[in-house]
Amino acid sequence: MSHHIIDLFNITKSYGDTEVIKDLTLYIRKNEFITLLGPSGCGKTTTLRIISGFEKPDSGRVLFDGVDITDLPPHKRKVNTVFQKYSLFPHMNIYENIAFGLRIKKLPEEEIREKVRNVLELVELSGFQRRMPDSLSGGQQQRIAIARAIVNEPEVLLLDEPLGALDLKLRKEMQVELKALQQKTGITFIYVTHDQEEALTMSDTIVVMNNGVIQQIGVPTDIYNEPTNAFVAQFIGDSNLLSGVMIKDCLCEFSGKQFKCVDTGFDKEEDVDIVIRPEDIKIVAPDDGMLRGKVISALFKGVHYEMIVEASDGFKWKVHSTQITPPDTEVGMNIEPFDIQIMKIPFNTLTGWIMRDNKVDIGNTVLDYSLSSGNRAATEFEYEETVDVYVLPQDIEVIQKPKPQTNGKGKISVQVNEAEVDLPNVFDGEVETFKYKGDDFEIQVKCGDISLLVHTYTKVSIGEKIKLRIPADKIKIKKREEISEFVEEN
Amino acid sequence: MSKRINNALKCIPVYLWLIVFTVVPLLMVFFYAIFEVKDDGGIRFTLDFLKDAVTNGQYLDAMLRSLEYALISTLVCLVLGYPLAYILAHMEERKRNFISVLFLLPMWMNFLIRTYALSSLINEQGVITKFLQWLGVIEGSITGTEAAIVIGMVYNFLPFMILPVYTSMLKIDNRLIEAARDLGSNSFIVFKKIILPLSLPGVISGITMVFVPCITTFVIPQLLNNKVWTIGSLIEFQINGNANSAGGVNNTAAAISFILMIIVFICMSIFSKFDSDGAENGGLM
Repeated sequence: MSHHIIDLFNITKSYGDTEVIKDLTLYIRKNEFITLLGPSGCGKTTTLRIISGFEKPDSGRVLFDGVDITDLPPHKRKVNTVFQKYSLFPHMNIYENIAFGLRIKKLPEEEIREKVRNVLELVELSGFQRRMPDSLSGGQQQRIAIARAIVNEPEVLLLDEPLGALDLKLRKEMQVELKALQQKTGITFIYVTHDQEEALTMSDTIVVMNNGVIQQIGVPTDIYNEPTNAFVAQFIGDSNLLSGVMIKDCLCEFSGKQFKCVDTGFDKEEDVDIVIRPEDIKIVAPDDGMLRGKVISALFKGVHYEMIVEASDGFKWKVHSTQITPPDTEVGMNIEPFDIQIMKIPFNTLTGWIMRDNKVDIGNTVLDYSLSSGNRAATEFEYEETVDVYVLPQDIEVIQKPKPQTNGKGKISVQVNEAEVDLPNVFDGEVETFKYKGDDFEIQVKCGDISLLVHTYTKVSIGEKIKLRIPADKIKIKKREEISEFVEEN
Repeated sequence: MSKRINNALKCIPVYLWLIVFTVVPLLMVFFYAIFEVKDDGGIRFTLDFLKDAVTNGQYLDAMLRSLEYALISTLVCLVLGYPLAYILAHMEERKRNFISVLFLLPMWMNFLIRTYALSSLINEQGVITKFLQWLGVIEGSITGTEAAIVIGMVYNFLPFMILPVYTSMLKIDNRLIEAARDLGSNSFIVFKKIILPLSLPGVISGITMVFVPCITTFVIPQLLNNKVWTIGSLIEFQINGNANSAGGVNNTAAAISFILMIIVFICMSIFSKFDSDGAENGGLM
């Protein structure tokens, strides 16, 4: 493996009560094009700002070339940033903008002139020295911003969604240019984006992040073909996501049928997530297929057709093919064993504080936890010690609030089952997202500051207020130091 | 075509206002500076009043003194106001809004009353005077000194310096500061190359808003030190006590006002020249 230029060790960062980065450890190799990819609020920009020095981690270390730079201010770091909105200095012309960093290094004027000319040539804007930033188009301003950063010959260039403000066509052109520029200059690029296509096009390595946690690190083809969990599978490309059960090695069950697959190493009868890419499903005659369904729509997408096939169990399959199968056709569908991606269901990872009597505070509610699942007693922790709390989505129970019922006179009577509400470990939430996965439903429930992923057979609707119960014996508590071992175990 | 007429019609109230309250009065000042109205109603062209305004030693003294007070006061306002505006702009938002209201609060009160209030603090019996006497810094009263005039001007006009500077600092995009730091600037270079040049337009309008009322005011010298003549108090005296022309028109006052306007105009164009130079060359070392 080549040399690490940047190492991040156990970085955590919170704003108020919101934990933006949770124990992130990552290394970046010299000369690679690495992309931090994830939805907004996943912590990717904060990670970048920790590398550039604009944010200080609450805990953890940042190493540059093996040297600890955690406490070094931004202007002393050998990294430069290309900002999202260009951030060119409006009161300086292009020459002065690009020369800014060189002036601080007190380079002789002649050398500065030479370097500015060369870098302008590199970004194909020769002769723009005397122009003012506001007379340039968005694409030109972005190139100047890149030129202003790379003219300082940084060892690492940080790019914070640099193409976000450009239109699609220009963005595609700039993607190619940026990649070529990276190869030509040999500078390590750390690129932040929420655009999965951009990440797949340009990167040597992709780091997929969600909720402040790294979901997967890998080369683009691996991220696409072998997503490690349902989040990555859905975030990168189109996919059919189902709930399934691993019967034994190389045999799984979903949509009420058993399928051969190539995955091993799961527990017997373990609940899993299953992802099948739309292009990996072959449409065949109804009686020849492993699954049967009816085409309900067919759309031309430029290169391929996208068919939606409703299976007999009601799951709507997305199928990509170069040939169209018209709507209302009964079809069969075949899937090759190696096209079935089987993934462990990820834990909900929460931050908690230990309370007395084997209770843990997870921010807006206090839960009992059981010692039978291998947890330590509260007495073995310090009072209010910060711990990580793990709960599997399928272990959380949904209790639907009874709907208000109107009687004949228009009066509303609400029936509440007091017994259920008074159970321990019950708390309120609101359904944010709702998805059918062939067998059960996957819902995202917002409970105060935290958001939980829940697998349930109960049908709920978005915005519905529900109650959740986490059984005490399904809660796993880990001391902060034990996290790394624990993650490896899983 | 009809749209153009329509647009022109909409502007009529503005033009009317400007003509009635700016153009005509200015022309009248100019007119009375060079025409004497005789007792029989006839008028006579003369440059005597203008000549008197620029050669009379008393007027020249007052003019120079006013210029001096205005420049010193503007400088003091700048030295006090700029850091205050900087601190204010970098506070957290809620605190900042509260404190900027505190700065504005005295502005809601009448200028004359404010100056009377200040006078009562710094005259012979004033609390501040007594305190400074007790400290041994001064003897006698503050009112009646030249410092009293400058204090009065700074006290009254400081908010007019702080507010435009503060506004221009708020408008500076924090990402520009981050970009400068990212490119290797320490705090001093960030200030010199980013914050200062980008806040310059605010400084210029602050200077204008302090300098012009300072050079023309007559209330402040009258209430805080009526021993010295400033150009404002001179004009006031001419108008109120010394009509030297028929119809209550004071040609001397008109001539002095006219000269004063020219001086203010020259000063302002020097200031704004400085501003546009700054905007163009702010980045040069």
